[in-house]
Formats: sequence, structure tokens, C-alpha cells
Amino acid sequence: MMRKLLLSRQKPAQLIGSGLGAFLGISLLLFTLQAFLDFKSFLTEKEALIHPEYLIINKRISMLSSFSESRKFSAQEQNELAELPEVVRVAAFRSNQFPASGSIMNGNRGMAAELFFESVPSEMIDGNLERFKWEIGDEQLPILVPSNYLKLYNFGYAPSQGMPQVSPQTLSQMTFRLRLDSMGIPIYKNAFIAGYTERIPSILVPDNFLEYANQVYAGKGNEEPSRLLVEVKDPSNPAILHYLEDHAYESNQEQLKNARLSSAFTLIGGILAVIALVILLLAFLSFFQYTQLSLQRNAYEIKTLLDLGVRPSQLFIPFIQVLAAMLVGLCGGALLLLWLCKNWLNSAAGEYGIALSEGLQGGVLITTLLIFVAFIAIQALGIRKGIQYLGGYTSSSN
Amino acid sequence: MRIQLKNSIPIPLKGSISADSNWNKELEFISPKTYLICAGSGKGKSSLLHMLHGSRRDYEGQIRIDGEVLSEFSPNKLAQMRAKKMAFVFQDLRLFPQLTAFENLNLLQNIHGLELGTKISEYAERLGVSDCLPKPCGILSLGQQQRIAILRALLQDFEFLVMDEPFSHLDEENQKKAGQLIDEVLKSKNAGLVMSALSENAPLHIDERMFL
Repeated sequence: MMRKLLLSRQKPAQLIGSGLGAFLGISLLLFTLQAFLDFKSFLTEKEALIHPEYLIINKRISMLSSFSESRKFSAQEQNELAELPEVVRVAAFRSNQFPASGSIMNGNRGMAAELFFESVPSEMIDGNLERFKWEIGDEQLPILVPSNYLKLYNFGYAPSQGMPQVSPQTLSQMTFRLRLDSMGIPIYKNAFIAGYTERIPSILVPDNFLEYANQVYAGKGNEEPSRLLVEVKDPSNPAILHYLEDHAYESNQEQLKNARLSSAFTLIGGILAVIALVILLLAFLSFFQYTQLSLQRNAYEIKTLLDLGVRPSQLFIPFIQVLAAMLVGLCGGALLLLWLCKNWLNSAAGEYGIALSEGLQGGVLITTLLIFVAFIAIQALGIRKGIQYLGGYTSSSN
Repeated sequence: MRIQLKNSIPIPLKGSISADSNWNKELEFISPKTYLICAGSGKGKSSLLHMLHGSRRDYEGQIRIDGEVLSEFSPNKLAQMRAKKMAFVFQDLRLFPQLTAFENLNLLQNIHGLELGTKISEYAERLGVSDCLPKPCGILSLGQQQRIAILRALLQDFEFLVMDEPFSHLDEENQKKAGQLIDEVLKSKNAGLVMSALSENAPLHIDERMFL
């Protein structure tokens, strides 16, 4: 009966208006959040598939830097990069400091080419490294080549030269003749393909071989590297991209495109989230005014009930119950709408071979709960204050 | 229940009271005694009763209820006093016009969990307002509404009944009926009464008369 008494003077038109505003605000905010989290999780899954955590970086080459030392990474620059929170570790590419060439014979036909080698620590190389080992005194040198090189040979070079195509297994069994130039004296070694790498687009030899060979054949210590292999926690993190851009570093890695995409999406998502928050705030303000107006409309009833010995909390509960029931409906409706749209989007994306995460993101549900709690808490404070004012316990309702 | 007033006076009345007034002195109301506050218009009868009820706070001095300072009561404690110890009949009645007379009488039973049984119909019969019970209070005459307001106060728990000119819209016959019922209820509850009126005459038993 008390609820009937307190809610009898309500005007539903403003409540419906505020409700629609709040529904729009909540829906837009949850949509934005769900899309953002889905997009992040989609990028993360995609990157996990293509070894996302490794970037190969170099300094941007300009007219001035072509022949200067500035295209090399100093120890300080390497350390600075390694200390970034997003970076797990940094390894330098070592390259040969002596001329080298290789030849291969096939019957009475053969081919020869100038070669270069690079090396990085073995633990940062992908693929099977069982045969990729070298010790001083070994006559045969294992080499890793990028998978793409074999494709380039099989589908580019071999048909044009009338050479046979070879499988990875066949190539692994072939031996190459290497000519290493040790300060004018040729040194010959046999080499074989020990495996293939997807991650590093270079001809790799064991790191300990190149360290040894640079000292023995070139008589030089190891120079500062011009390329670095960087393991990062999340290559889609725009902070990495910004760091590279700020220092004029380059990376040709696919995942940095994702970082740019992620940056753009974060910006758009941020703008949408701000719009949603403004709508939500206005709707909640309208709700707040509606509640205060309701208290004023029922001022006679509230004051009389307080004078008859009704506790303020007993008057507070019916108002909060109505608002909570309404907000549950609004949040539930927004979540249902989001879930329906998500299902539709998932099936539409599935037709294009894009697999989005199933169901609603945990962050969306937590945000809904936070909206609910914040709304009820603010309304509860306002109603409590309004009732105390009407009961004459405080001097002002604001 | 014991109500004590020490040098109490509503701030708006300051400077306009006569020397023989009871304002700004020490007063005491102890249940189950019955008191009649007599004064002409504008002398502060309603102010005094609202001060005792805790709904008027713009006064100087101190009021104690069973030894505790009334102005320091929390909203919940004040509510408990009004629900259990002090029933009030307002001069402006304070009924809910959108509810029926029965709903007005039954409202406190709902809120405070009182067991009224057949008291509503019995008391309504005694005051001649049985026919009014199913009707919205908003369409009743002032006399009928005044009787409903008196009944609402009598139906709740109390140790003191406070009534602000409760018979102003009743004829002599109905005043007599109401007075008799009030006397009976006070006796059955062993409760006291503080009532304001323009004249010294009252249709019920009065132990002490005070003049403002």
C-alpha cells in the first residue's frame, strides 16, 4: 500500500524518455567495449599464429646514412630497447666480415653466387635445429635458409634456367661448396641446408661459427649490428610502434600493421566510448532529476508518513526497487541486443572465414555490473538526501 | 513516558510573549495524566505540540523525552518514538486523499505490523463513520475526515496521545462520542494526553489545564 501511495503521482513520460536515453547509452558503451575486446582478441589469436612476438628492426636508410655508422645499433641503443616494458629480449644480427661465395654442381651444370651470412642466438630461431650445430674443426657447415628462398628458386629461378625443381628434403641432402676469403687466401668448406626458417628472412649459420670466422678469417672483432631481432610481449601494442617511429627504426613485420590498426581502432573506440559515456551521463542525470521530481511530487505523502513514524529507510526502498527493476531491464535488454548482434556478426564473419570469439566478453559483463552499481549508488544517495530534507532532518536537498 | 521542557520557546515567538505565559519556563508532561493546552489563536499551541513531536526544530531551550534530548534523536529513533510512543492528531488532519478511509486506517497496521483485528470497524461504528470506510478520504466532509484522523491515532501504539484542536469540525454530539472513545482508549493503554484547544472546555477527562 505504501508503494501505491508513493508511486501514485509518477509521470511515466519522462521516465520513458530517460529510460530510452539510458538504453541507448548503455547499449552503445557495451557495443563499443565488446567490439574493442573482440578486435583485440582477434589480433592476438592471429599473431599467435604467425610468431607475433618477434620483430626484425633496422634503422631507416637515407641518403646520408647509407655509408655512415649511424645505420648501426650502438650498445646503448640496444640496451634502451631491451629495457622497454613491452620488450622481452633483444638479439643482434651478426654478419660475415669476409667475402664468401657458394657453388653447387648438378651433373655438368652448376651455379655459383656471392653469399652473405647472418647469425642470431639459436634460442630465437624457429624450426627444427637438430642439425644446426657447429664446433671448431667441423668440416661441414650447417645453414638455415628462409622457406621463401626455396619457393623463389623452385618457382622463379629453376624454370627460367631449365633447372629441376627440388623438394626441401632433396635440398637438405645436397652439399654446397663454400669459398671463404681469409685475407686473400681462399678457404673451402662444405655446407648443407640444415633446415628452414619462417621467422628470419636471411641465410643463417650458427652464431658460434660466425663469431669464430669473423675473428679468424677477417681478423676483426664483431661489429655493431645493423639489424636487431626483438622479442616483444604484444606486437599489436601501439607503444612499440610509437617507439620505433620516434627513433626512425623500421620493421617490415606484418604485426606492426596490426599495431597501426589497433591504434586506429583504439582511437575510434575511444571516441565512441566517450560519446556513449556522455549519452549515459545525460540519461542518468535525467533519471536523477526525475527521481528528485518524484520526491517533490510526493512531498506530502513522504512528510506525512515520516510524521506517522515511518522510518526513512522504509520510504527509500520502494523508490530504489522501482529504479533497480528498471535498470535491470535496461541492462538486460542492452546485453540481449548485444548478444543477438554478436551472434549475427559471428555468423556473417564466419562466411568470410573470420572466427570471432564466442559469446560476450567478461569485460562487458563487468562494465554492465559497474554501471548498475554506480547508478543505484548515486540514486540511493540522492533519494536518501531528498527524504531527509522532506523530513526536516537536513536544511537543503542539494 | 515523561516529557520535559526547559526554557523552551519557538524562535518566531521570542519577544512577543506575555509575562504570565508558560513559554520559556519549565514544563513537564507525564503519562498517564491528561493535559489541555489552552490559548487563543497565534499563541503557539500547534508549535508546542509539534515541538514535542520533533517535527518542529526552530526553538530555543531543551526538550527531553524520558531523559533524552529530543533534538539529538536520529531519524530512526524519532520514527520509533512516533510509531510506538506518541500518536498525533494533526490540525490539518494529514490523511491521504487518494486512499479510502479504511486504507488510511489500515496503513499503519501494514507499515508497523500492528494486529488491529476488528478494531477499525468497531471504532468507526462508535464515531459514526462506518459508511465512510470504503470511500476515498478526499471526498469526505471535514468532520468525517477529522474523525478518521482521530481513529488513525487511536489505532496505533502510544504512551502519549497528542491532539492539535481535534474537535474543531465536530458538532457537540460527535465531540462527546469522540471524547468517550478517547477516554476509554487512554485508560486501556494507560496512556497520557496532551491536547490543544481554544477554550478550557473539553469533551473528555482532563487532569491539568495549561495556558500559553
